[in-house]
Amino acid sequence: MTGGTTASHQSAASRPPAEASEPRGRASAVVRWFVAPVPRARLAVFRILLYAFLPLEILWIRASVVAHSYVPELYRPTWLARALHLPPLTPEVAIALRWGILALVVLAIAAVLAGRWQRTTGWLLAGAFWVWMLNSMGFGYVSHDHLAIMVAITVLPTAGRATLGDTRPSEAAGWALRSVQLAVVATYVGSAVLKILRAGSLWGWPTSAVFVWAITRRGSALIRWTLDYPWLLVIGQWGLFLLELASPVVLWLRGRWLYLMIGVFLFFHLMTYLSLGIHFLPTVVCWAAFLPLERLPFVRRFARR
Amino acid sequence: MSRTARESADRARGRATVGPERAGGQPDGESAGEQAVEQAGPSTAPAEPVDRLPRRGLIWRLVATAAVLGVLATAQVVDTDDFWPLGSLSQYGAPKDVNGTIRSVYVEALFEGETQPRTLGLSAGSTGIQRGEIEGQLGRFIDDPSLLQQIADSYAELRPDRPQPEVLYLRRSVTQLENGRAVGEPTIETLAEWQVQP
Repeated sequence: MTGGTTASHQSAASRPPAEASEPRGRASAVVRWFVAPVPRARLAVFRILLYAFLPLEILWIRASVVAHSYVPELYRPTWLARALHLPPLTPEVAIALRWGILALVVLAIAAVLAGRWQRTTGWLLAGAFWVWMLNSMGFGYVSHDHLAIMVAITVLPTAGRATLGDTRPSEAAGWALRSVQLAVVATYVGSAVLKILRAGSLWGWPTSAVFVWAITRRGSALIRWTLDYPWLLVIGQWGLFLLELASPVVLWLRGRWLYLMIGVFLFFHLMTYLSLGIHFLPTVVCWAAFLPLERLPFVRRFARR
Repeated sequence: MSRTARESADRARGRATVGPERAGGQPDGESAGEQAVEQAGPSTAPAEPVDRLPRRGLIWRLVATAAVLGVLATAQVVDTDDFWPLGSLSQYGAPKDVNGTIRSVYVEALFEGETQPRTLGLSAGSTGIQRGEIEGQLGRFIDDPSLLQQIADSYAELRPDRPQPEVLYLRRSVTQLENGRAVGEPTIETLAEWQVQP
């Protein structure tokens, strides 16, 4: 550990900046990268965005929790749900949990706007959402587009108080958003690594018939014509595979190159949604952690009030 | 263009444009010291002091980051979904043989008063469980077809106004591929069959 500062930090904001001097060195720079400060307002906007997305999760994307309560014998909980001894839910409990999450979403967003109770509402919402999602994933299928959003809901309360008008840079806010960024990137690069491991070679997956398989099983009218051109689908597989492998560069890109890369990924998700009905929205929303959200015009207007 | 020049240009245009240096949302990693103070604030305000983490806060965050990345990496090697959300990122991750088969599971039902079974749509809203979930625990259904009773029960509760199934068939269609193209009609396998108990 090299990057520690020794003085008390509770009053960091009130001290002259000169006191916040850092030890130099490569290890320190690496450590500091993980907690690179961002304005608290950015974290506040991301909190609102993520919390506002949760109703979509529980009412549409992973709405199946209430339905699952009718098939309790098919409950196959994953490791964490078993470790926590989470039982299958009854319809009454599932519906109560749904209302509870909706109420907590309102409270958590109100807490950001009011600048109070953010930690409490954030943790309560995170806990309730975890219970919901562990049930949703406990029936034989897990969705791989939820890595980043589960990281986000968990790390957001750790950054403490943050309001829309608070432009003070904070390392706690920086780490929370960096964690979400890392989880977004891991979603792609991890899946590329798994493809290599499963195929046992770099070219095994991209030269296989995965797209044919996917489109045959659930392709829409927009995409089924490609089944007559398997070579085209192989090109598509190479493109996707290389894009996933290259995804970590977004952690260091700036400006128009960053926006371009984000655009490429969002375009990919739009295409898979139109062709296969797979939208990856929980990951898409977490791409916002890469953006200077505090500069959105309505945030600035709100902050001035 | 230099950082400062671009920022004054932005101000001159009177817009909240974002300089490329800023877009990542992070100051440069190599020099996240005092420089961050100048870069992270809005261009119009004077530099603000950074709220630093106390040593303990920094340590637990780094340990948590390393632990999560470690579990995630392990899950890719072990190739397990069990650690969700840190499980293997295996959606469409298995290479498919261009001369292999494509298999797809579905449920058919013989409804009361009908002579031919027809497809029973699998959705959370009508059966409580979806196709991917049944495929994820297919072995259980094959070993113990009585689990199909759960699907009949949930259908009766969720769709009480519809005709109810008397027999359920868990089936799989298998399409043969040749050089990435489907050849012939899919063959149908019946994996399990269950007389619904009223």
